[in-house]
Amino acid sequence: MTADGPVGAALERAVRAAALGEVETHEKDGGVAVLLWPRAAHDVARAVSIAARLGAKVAVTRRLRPGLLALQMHRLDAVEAPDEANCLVRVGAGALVRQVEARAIQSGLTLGPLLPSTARKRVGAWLSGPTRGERSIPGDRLETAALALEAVLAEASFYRSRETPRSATGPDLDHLLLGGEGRFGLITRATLRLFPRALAEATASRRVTGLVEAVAAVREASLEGLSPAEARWERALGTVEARFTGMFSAPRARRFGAGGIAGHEMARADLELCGSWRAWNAATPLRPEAFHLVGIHLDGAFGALRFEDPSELERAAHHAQAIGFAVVSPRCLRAPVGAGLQAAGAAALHEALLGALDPKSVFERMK
Amino acid sequence: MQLSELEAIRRDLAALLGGHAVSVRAPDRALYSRDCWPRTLLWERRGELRHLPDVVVWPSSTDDVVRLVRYARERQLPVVAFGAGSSVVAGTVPLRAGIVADFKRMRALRTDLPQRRAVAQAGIVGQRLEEALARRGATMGHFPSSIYCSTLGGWIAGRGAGQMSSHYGKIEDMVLGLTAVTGTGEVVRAGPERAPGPDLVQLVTGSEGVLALVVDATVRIHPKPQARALRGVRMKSTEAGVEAMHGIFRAGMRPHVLRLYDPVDSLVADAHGGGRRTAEQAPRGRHGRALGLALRAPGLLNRAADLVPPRCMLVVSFEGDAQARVEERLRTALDVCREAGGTDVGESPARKWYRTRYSVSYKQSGVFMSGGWSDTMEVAAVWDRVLPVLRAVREAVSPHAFCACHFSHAYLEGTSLYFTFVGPAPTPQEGERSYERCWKAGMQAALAAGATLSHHHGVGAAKAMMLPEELGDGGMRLLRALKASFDPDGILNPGKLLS
Repeated sequence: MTADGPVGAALERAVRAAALGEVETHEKDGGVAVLLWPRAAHDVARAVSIAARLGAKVAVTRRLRPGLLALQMHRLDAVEAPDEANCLVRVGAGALVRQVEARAIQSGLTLGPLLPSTARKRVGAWLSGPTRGERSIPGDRLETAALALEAVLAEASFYRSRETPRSATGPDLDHLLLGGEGRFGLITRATLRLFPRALAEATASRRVTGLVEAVAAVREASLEGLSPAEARWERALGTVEARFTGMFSAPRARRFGAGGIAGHEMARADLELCGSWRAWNAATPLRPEAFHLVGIHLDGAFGALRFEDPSELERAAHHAQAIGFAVVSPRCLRAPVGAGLQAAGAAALHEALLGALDPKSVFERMK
Repeated sequence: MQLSELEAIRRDLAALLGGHAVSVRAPDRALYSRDCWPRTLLWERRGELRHLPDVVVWPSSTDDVVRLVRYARERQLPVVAFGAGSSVVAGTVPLRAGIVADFKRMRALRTDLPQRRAVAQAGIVGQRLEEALARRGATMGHFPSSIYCSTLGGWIAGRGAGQMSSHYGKIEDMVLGLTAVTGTGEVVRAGPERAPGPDLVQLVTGSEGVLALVVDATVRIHPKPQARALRGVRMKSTEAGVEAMHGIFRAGMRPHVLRLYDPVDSLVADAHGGGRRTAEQAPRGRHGRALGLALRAPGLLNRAADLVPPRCMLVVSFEGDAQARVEERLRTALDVCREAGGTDVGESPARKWYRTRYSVSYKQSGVFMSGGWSDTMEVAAVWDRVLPVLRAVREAVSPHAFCACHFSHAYLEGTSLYFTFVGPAPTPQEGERSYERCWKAGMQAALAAGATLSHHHGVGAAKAMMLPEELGDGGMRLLRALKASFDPDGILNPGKLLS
């Protein structure tokens, strides 16, 4: 059965009858799209089961089309009190990242510096999206914040991973869901890693001639073990400013440059990227007027870019992907979720995975 | 397999890979029938040679591996990747015969110091890799006790950990990209640049040769440290030691070495001048025979161990580019230890640990010769589950084996617990029975108390029966879907992970 009007109507009836949460329907292109606000993970599983039975698609999205069951995860927004002993917090997929951070801060913990768009996202979207919920371990590597996940799979069964700091029990299966944009399963709950908030903090700035020199300064600081937590550069000011946190980094901030200048938030982030230092070194042709780097690690950084002329955005995003960046935001410029596997020479593998994990093709990419 | 069929396979493979890259000789087949799974030592004591492969091959290139896998698929022959055979969970035992592919001819290394990356082929032996990097002033930071007898490919297959994982991370934290050949002979190249979608590197890493054969990897490298500050700290109890480890991470430090020995392991180490000898390394000769007798009542031995003074040894070390900086970090760590009741006992225990840190992989056989068996079980748990897991496992295995534990890979969220079991084997058959009972009890207790089944040894065949309990139905469904996608004919390392 195709996703058309009759499917949409049947879907609406079935979802309403199952009482899975608030339901809205929208006439769209001659058919019916159904929006559902599930109240619990079990509602998500039952919704997936209903959609599979009726030949409808399921996605976490607000973009509606006939025959689609669009899940809105807002009600799965529980944020438990942070587990201070283990530096963890257990949250529903619908919780806003900024709410999680606010709870963490009350307990003397933090998720660490994140991209501007991440704070506005819900946890499920953050983890399923192109950053895979990653943030940097200061001075070292990227690591996903997700210690454990709960997700609903295409057969409406649950996947739950174990809360353990590391394991060697086969491949890390969470990684089918992290970055998967809902194509292999829908994340309903997560246990997130937190850092203790650093008591010491310092900023320092140095003059630079342009983007390449600014990137080099931040990278050099990272490789020298200064571990900048975040860095900002503005072409107009001709400076790069870095913030250092922690009892070993903050006192050494002066090695980066002179005392900090007044912190200036970037007025707007047009394009958010993730890439290696090799990609950042080649970023001059993107022609941004400012950047804000977070997730700075030994191999690269996440960055928000601002452009003088926002019409440059699309050109810059395409160029960024060509030189090895992944686009994080805006969503419309992201590469499709299968592109990574295709680039790996694994197009057939991608198709086989989709066939094995979602044989009825119930899930649509999260939008 | 009929001799004529075997000869035909040998001829085919020789045509594909070259005559010197293929063997069906009995000594080669015997050699590759086992790895370091202790149970194979019990079989050897019985004079049994189980799980002989049909053929052993030594591929030299990615193309060789592709040709090999395509041929094996066509003939429906199992293919087991072999690094240096140090798996302790039967990760490379060819349970269903077929072809064992030894990767040690694939050992090329290319470094990119400015980018802090190295690309190495999977068969490079750990020690050789580190030596080559050291000549270029670099290190990967991966130092497993098996470093002389394990390969990069094996580390990746088993999600291995080195002794400095608290600082550098486990192998899955070090691999930026990899090339692998799937069960259909498809070559996949993941990373090192970021790609959208799920992280293929993390799906292949830890797959134990069941999904794909890793042929090379791009890994992060670091400047070789020039300075080191180290110390032994005597803690009043295991609880205090765990508190100190946790406190060091909470304070924002990631030491290069952080190891806590429980009272028994600490006592054994003390008895040998503070050296690295632990319960895993048994005495020989007269003392060995006495051990063999004592092991017949492991419950009594464990109760006697409870009478050992509860003090523990904590070894802590920082490395870096400047002595003053590593000393500063060490001082801060020692402050945390003192707050937890620790006493600084100087550098000696830590120095001795450094000197003998790779000895452990070669000393188990003494226990088997003393009429016993020994094995290790490494699990991991978040901090507030660490002591419950310790108690649960000790209690569960106590009737079956003498049990000691150390804590050697720590993170902000928790740590691994590395149990050593020494059990009785008055006859090989009795030894195997007590071994099986001990393992089952230990794994069940660890899982029930909230630990993962394995921190860095992997699952192999040894733990496969318990994997469904760890992963649950959903996890097993995902794992089977991965297997069906990567290796639809099930030719890669059958019987591992998915029993």
